[in-house]
Amino acid sequence: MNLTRRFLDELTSAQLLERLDLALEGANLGIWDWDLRDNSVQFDRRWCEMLGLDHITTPMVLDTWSARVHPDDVDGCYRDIRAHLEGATPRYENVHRMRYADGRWIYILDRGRIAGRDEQGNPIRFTGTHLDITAIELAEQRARMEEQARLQVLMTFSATLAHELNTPLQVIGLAAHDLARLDPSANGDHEVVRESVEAIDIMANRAGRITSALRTMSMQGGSAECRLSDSLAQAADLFRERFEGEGIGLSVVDETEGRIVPATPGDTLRTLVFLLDAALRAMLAGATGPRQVHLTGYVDAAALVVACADTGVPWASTAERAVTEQWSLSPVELLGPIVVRYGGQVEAVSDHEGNRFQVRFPLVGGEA
Amino acid sequence: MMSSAEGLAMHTVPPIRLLVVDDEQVLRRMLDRVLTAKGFEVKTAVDGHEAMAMLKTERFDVVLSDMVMPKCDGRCLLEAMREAHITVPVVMLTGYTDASDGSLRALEAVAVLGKPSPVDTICTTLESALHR
Repeated sequence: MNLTRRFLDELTSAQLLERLDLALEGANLGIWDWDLRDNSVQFDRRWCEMLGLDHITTPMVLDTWSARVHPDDVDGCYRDIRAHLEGATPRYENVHRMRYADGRWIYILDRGRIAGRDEQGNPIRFTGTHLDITAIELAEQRARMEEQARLQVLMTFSATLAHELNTPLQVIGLAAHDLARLDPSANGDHEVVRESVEAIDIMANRAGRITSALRTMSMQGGSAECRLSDSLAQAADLFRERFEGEGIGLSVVDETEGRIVPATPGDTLRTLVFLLDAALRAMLAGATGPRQVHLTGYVDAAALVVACADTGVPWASTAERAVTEQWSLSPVELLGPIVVRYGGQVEAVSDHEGNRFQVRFPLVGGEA
Repeated sequence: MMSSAEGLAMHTVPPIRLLVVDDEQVLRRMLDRVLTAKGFEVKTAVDGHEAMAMLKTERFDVVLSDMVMPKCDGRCLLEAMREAHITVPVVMLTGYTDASDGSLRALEAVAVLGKPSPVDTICTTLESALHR
């Protein structure tokens, strides 16, 4: 601390200012210095450049700042400023959008504190910095969007699952009720027993397949290999009733010849669930052709391929979708990070005929 | 527990005529048998289209319908009934948890039951629907 003090004492004012300027330059900070008595504000060159403004011609008044703050954010700014000036917070800090010279919005981290008071102790100078955090903010928004999109898939999936399980449970309940009312000694009830037991058996098996698939879905980690045939069958179990319920045919063709996917069972099934969920949503948004979804697994050169084709509304590009359907990421965006982990890739074609997604895993090992 | 449908049957009052609509064959069959044993006179349809055809030609006191079905689902059935001025009360039996949100009531479903529902609850709801 003493060394720092001495170092600073030995610098001339000009040297100090030069070093301060270098530090601010390096930190990409713009400075504002607000005189609260007349609302004049000194903005430095970097503050102006951050907004695409010419330092020479920029009016040094509060309105230069306030007129560029996003209308939805300006009240929050003044609330935080007031809180600091009234002594409720040790410093002012606010993130808000500001209009760049070309009209786009950038995100600014605005920080400041009282830098001078009059003889009565009233604040008269308020000084602070601007930092352009647009890139960070957009990355965070993107992460939130991806999280939201995955949540959306899981919510749809949970609703599907509830339906899949509830029908078997209803039948089991009815059958059990039916059996409970029987007279064990009456011969005529024999047929009722047979039918009820058969119904319980069918539905318990169906419920069992669904819970088994659900268990796989919830698996994290594990050995990075599974039979694609098993995953295809599980995905079909999870979705078939839902597709039928919506009047959409689901054909699953397995030509994988028992090949192994170099991915965990959980990630493989999640991949197929994302594909079928995307197909379902595209179909529900409006089908352009036959109401049919094809899920196919096959071997192609050095790849084990899963292809999913629907005749639904095309998934638009992210840029187009951001305006209208910002929480909806395409399967490529959702699946990419999962598939790439295993050396695979996702390809997509969307046009007036619908969507065709292809997930390619590297071909490894022999038959299971 | 004896439902009032059973009670009514004992007093030789005509049984409640119930139309069960569900695409799931096993469930349809079980509902048919269990509710028949409870004193209802049950007929079944596989979807809204078949149900509408039956509602136009036969008399029913109440309908118990699934929500999600191919071709014509529960919503489609309710709309078709409204268009045809058929005022038979409809109880929806649905596996989707979000179906109790009132949007079905707006389509004039009298009650929405979730699957699975106990037999007694189904009977009581069907009987209450008659008085609405």
